[in-house]
Amino acid sequence: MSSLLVISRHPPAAPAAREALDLALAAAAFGVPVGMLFLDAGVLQLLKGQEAALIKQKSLTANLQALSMFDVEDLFVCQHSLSERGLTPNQLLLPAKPVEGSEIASLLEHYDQVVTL
Amino acid sequence: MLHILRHTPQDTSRFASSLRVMGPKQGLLLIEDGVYALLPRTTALSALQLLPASVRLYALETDVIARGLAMDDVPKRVTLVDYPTFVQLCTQYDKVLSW
Amino acid sequence: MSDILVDGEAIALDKEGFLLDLEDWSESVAAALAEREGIILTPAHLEVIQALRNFYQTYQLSPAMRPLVKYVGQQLGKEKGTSLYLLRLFPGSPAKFGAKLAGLPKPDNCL
Repeated sequence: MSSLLVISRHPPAAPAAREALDLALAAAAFGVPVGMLFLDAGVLQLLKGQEAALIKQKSLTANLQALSMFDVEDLFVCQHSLSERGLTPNQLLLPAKPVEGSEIASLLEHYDQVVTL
Repeated sequence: MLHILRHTPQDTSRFASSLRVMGPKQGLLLIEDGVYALLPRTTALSALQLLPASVRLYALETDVIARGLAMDDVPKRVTLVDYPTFVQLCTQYDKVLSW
Repeated sequence: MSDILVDGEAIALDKEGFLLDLEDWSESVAAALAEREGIILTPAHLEVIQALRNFYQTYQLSPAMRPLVKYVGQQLGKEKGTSLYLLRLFPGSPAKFGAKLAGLPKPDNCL
């Protein structure tokens, strides 16, 4: 089965953040090997300690934690996007692997399909 | 892989990020507001010029003209394409990534 | 839309038989929903239903089949974390049927 990389690049409150996650979960539910790359403002989805209910939103955090239940284990986070926002990997709620630009270029080649949201 | 950029490079991080992750053998096609990356004397254009020569650059001619960008200002390494060529490029590259 | 009567109270369902208000759930409601589908709940059903509710509590979504199998395996033991076991308890589509009896929203990514 061909593999899919979902690039998620919007902050957690943006509808596109949930759409990217839904896409990854749906593909995984059907047995597609899925990876997720958090890029640009998408890295903010991974910040620990979010309380989405306070702004009347469903918790994206809870849904993100379901990724491992859906066997989506290949999680990547753009190191540059983290640094731009003064963040470090230990502030993240998922064990996403920090990757540099050239590593991302290889990821784009590695996966059969790549989608940005 | 062909990257397709359709947003203004000045307003979003899409442009910068797509360049950052561009592999040496990949292509970049500017369409819609993405063609504003061709505005002369901008950091966006300089960034395009700095891409390795192995990265092929394309822009959709219609979108360039529609936005009043001077054709003379379009750098030589950028190939202007029409719609049929746009489609052809999408099939020619193994993957297409829209930003 | 239809209602069922459980312990003298009308419980609202959508046209597929899922609870409209997730707060309405109780074991008696689950039993009544199961009966509508021709199933008598056993402790084996109930522990999976409870696992489904825990899954929803934790991840705030109804699991599709694969994550349900994995989760049940982790929570209730490997021998129960198989699609065969779940199919026997909840014939047809365990994720969908199970979610219905557990008072969860219909899973999005389900066959």
